[in-house]
Amino acid sequence: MTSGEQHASFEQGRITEGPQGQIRTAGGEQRNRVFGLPLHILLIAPTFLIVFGLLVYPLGYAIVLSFSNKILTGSVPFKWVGLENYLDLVEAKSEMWTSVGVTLRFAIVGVLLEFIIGLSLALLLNREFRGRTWLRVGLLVPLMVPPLASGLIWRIMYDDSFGIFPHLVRTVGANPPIFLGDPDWALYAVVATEVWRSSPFMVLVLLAALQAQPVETIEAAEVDGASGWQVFRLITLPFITPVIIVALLFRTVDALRTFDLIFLLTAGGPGTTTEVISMFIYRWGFRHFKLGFTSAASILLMIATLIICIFYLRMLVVRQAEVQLTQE
Amino acid sequence: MVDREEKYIGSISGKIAAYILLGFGALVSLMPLYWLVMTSLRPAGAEFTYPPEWIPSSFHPENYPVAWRRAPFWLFTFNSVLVTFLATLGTLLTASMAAYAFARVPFYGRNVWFGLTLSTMMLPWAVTLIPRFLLFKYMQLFDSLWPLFLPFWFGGGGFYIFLIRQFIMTLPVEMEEAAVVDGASRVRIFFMITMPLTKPAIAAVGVFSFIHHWNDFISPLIYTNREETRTLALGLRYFGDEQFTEFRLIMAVATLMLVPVLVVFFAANKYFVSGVALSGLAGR
Repeated sequence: MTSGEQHASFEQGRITEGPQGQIRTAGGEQRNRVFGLPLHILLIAPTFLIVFGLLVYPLGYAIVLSFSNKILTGSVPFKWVGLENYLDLVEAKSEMWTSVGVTLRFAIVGVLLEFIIGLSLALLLNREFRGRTWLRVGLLVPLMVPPLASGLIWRIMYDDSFGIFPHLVRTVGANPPIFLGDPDWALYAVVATEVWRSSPFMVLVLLAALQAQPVETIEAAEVDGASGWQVFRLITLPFITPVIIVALLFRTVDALRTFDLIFLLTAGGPGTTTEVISMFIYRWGFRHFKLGFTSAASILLMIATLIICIFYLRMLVVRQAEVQLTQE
Repeated sequence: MVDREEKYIGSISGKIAAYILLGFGALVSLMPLYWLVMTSLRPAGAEFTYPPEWIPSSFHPENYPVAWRRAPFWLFTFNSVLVTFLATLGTLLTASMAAYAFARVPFYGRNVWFGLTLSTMMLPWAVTLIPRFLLFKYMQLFDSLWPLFLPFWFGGGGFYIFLIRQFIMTLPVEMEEAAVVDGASRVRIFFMITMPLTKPAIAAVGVFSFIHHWNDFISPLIYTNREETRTLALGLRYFGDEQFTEFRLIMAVATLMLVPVLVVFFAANKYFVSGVALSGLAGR
């Protein structure tokens, strides 16, 4: 026990950590124990367990499995296969590359559209006008809808023989594709549903960022005669850039692991044209029970996700460094 | 000094354009829900007619009781309520405990643990899917409701801890210091001072967690098997497979399932944006 731990030392993190921050509790260290355990251990214990249970253990297990031929049903004797699973996966004619392409197209097109729509709506909602609360509520509703319900209803709306979308296309005189059954269209039909479902997340986060912006800076710029576009580009945008990066990071990671919507709308079909990587993993793990092979695929997915995360976080760090430079 | 109010009133055309765009956005957002409710009210067979009708020729609210009796939906609802309640309770309690420790209690390796906790959020669920599945199977919890809420008694998830921690960081530390001077223990401070002040963030997390567990069908799909352990979401999915010729009944159940979510969302609406805003996720 160091002397520091005998104090209840509160921290503000950013502000001061001086003598004022160090205050001795009336009963000393004893008061910060519950059932004889130091409080911080008790507070943090569940998280230790989950970090271990949901991160360290599964990750370790998945890595170990990925070098084996483990099959869920146990019909084949267990054997170490070295890098065989990985080699099978990265082989040029492997189905994984199709999945990777599908996943990338799904994530890039989807997140980009969500960002554009989300930012525009957030900017519009950030103004003062009558009925703003109701419009905001209406715009956020898709976030709440059970994926199951949205999957079912969008499937009905897309349906070729009685859906509303083919009907609308016919109303304007064009010949509608079979949205979920046409290999050229299915992925974009799924992306449309995903954009409908996830744009509200962008609206929510970006709107929160916009509302945190101090009014004074905008007013000062307006006094100096800045146009609306200049205010946005030179003041608002830099202010919300860190949040934009975080929001894009969240959505990209989420899009890379999307499963429910695709499972419900197309189950990866037609063929494998909408089989994103998590659908691929589900199929090989829970339809063909090839756990070793699947684990190898999921490890590769994790590495890819990690690289993308690092890319975004680097952007964030570079951005913050720039801000600090300008402030100095 | 430019009067902001005046400026916005001045640009009438801009205002109209904003209304139109936002109105269109809201329409697109709500249209599938409209279609959901309308489909659930259609007469038998009308869900397959072409062209589809924007307003059904006649309304049939009796679809709802008919659908509800087709499968043991009371049982599914009970399972869903139980899982959602226990998982959300666990999340709120353990996530705020961990968040408090990460925000206020200095201990060795705190930042590393916080980083690790956050990184659980970035992990694709497919990676941990199989090890977790095997773990629950080994613990003989497969095909029970336990895997659906037990993990959430262990911190509730990196995102929630992050959200609450950021919020606690914005609270003035003086109040807690005053309580220390008055002789309060850390446990008491946590429950009597920090927790009540953290209400907006806790409310936001509660809503997120509620919606997630009520809507979730992937975990039940993977961890449960028998009809007795189905949640409403999974029950609805099997119902959809069994009754695929009667969309109006499926949609009736889907609409009912949506009601509690919307009620919670409207009730907590004011916390939603402010909870996210104040948590410092935005603007830092």
